[in-house]
Amino acid sequence: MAEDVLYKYGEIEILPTRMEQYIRQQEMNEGERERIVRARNIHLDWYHRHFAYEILPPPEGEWEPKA
Amino acid sequence: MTYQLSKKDFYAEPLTKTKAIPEEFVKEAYLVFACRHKFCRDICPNFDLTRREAHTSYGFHTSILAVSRGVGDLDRLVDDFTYCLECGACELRCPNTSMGGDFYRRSTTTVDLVRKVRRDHVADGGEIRNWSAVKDYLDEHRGFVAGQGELVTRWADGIRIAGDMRTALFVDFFTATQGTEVPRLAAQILAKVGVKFGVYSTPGVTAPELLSENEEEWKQYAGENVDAFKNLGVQTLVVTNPHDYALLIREYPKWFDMSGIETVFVTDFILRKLKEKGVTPAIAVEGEFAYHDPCTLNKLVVEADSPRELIAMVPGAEIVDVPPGNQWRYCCGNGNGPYRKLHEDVAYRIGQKRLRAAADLGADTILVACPHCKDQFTDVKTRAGLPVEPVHVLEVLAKSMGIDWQTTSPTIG
Repeated sequence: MAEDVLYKYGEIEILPTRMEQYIRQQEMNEGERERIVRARNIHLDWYHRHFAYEILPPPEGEWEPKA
Repeated sequence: MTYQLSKKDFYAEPLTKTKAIPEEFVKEAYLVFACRHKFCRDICPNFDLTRREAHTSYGFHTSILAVSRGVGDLDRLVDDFTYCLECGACELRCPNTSMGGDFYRRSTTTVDLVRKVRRDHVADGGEIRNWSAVKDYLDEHRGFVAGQGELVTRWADGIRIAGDMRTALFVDFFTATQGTEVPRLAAQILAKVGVKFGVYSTPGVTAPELLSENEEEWKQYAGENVDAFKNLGVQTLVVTNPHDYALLIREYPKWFDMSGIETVFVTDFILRKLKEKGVTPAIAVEGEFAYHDPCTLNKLVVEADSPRELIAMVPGAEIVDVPPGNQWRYCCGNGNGPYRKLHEDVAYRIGQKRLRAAADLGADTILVACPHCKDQFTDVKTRAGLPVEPVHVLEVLAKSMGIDWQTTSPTIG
């Protein structure tokens, strides 16, 4: 994992210092963050129902990216 | 329920013809313009009928970019900004929100954008086609303010209300004058379950249409409401109109401290109380039901479960359900703002398409949780002659609980 992230409430989030030059962060509270996550899960469920006949499990054991 | 704060400070700077669009706003427009997915287009109930890309989130942001670069004129482009239902589907499907909004703490806020462009254009002396219909509606509501204390409680004639303001029923002008069955049903269901509550009777003009005309005026009414909630000792605010619920959850926290006040939508509150008190609706209500998710609950707030759970408790009710995610592309056609008043014909066709989809599922009744959806579907059903009856979820619940409810309460106002 890149070191430039925060862990908050079990989720990763970009370091605010990386959002100062070009695109700035907006005011957002946890309720809004949870809304976005809920909506994403609803969308992914919909996507799976419509376009996936199988959901592949993650690889077992320690996973290393291919060189 | 949890308040949802999502605010971009640069929206506070008014757009005028004499000043350049702030660079932060231009960058915002680029963020959507640069996207080639256009998921916002495919999910939009308006684009589904008008097929005009200028009417989508992509189109709105591109128009802002064009104006900022001197290749577009807001006087000519502003009409496109009226073709937004303010349903929020495009915001949810935008990858900037759904795939990165929580990580970057930056998301697409199209509803805020279109409201801002409309009100800034009006404030800058510009005109919007058919806006007089919106102004008339708002003026009617402004006229209610003087006598609101009596008006907002008149729907409750014949119903005894304890008046304990710790739990307050929030009834807005639309519900108090045109959608009176909703507070009547809610009050009678809550009384049957043994909940003591009062009625908040001075909401002011809360219509989301006002955010497209005069944000400061809307904030004035909202601020007075928050002060009154605190002075009255309101702990739980039970909201009957989901348009108000979305505003209380998403707009109030932008400007006001809502701590200490729990805002709950009426179906969530009733479901919670039924479970707490162990009350189960027992009388069977026969029918083939479809359920229509209001945009406010399903897309703006993304809490769509409680109406479905209430219907599931009613014995005999066969529901042909379409999951919430599949309903993002639906709207009744009323929209969450001035849309129906500006584009009655397209609004009718959007509603007709939705009712036809319910008829195709074999449903004879479309259940709704929003008085505006009911109003719109009733109109569409009559005009289109479709065999699907719009009924509020609370009406079915009240029947199943053996409540002698009245849907014939007079229209007030």
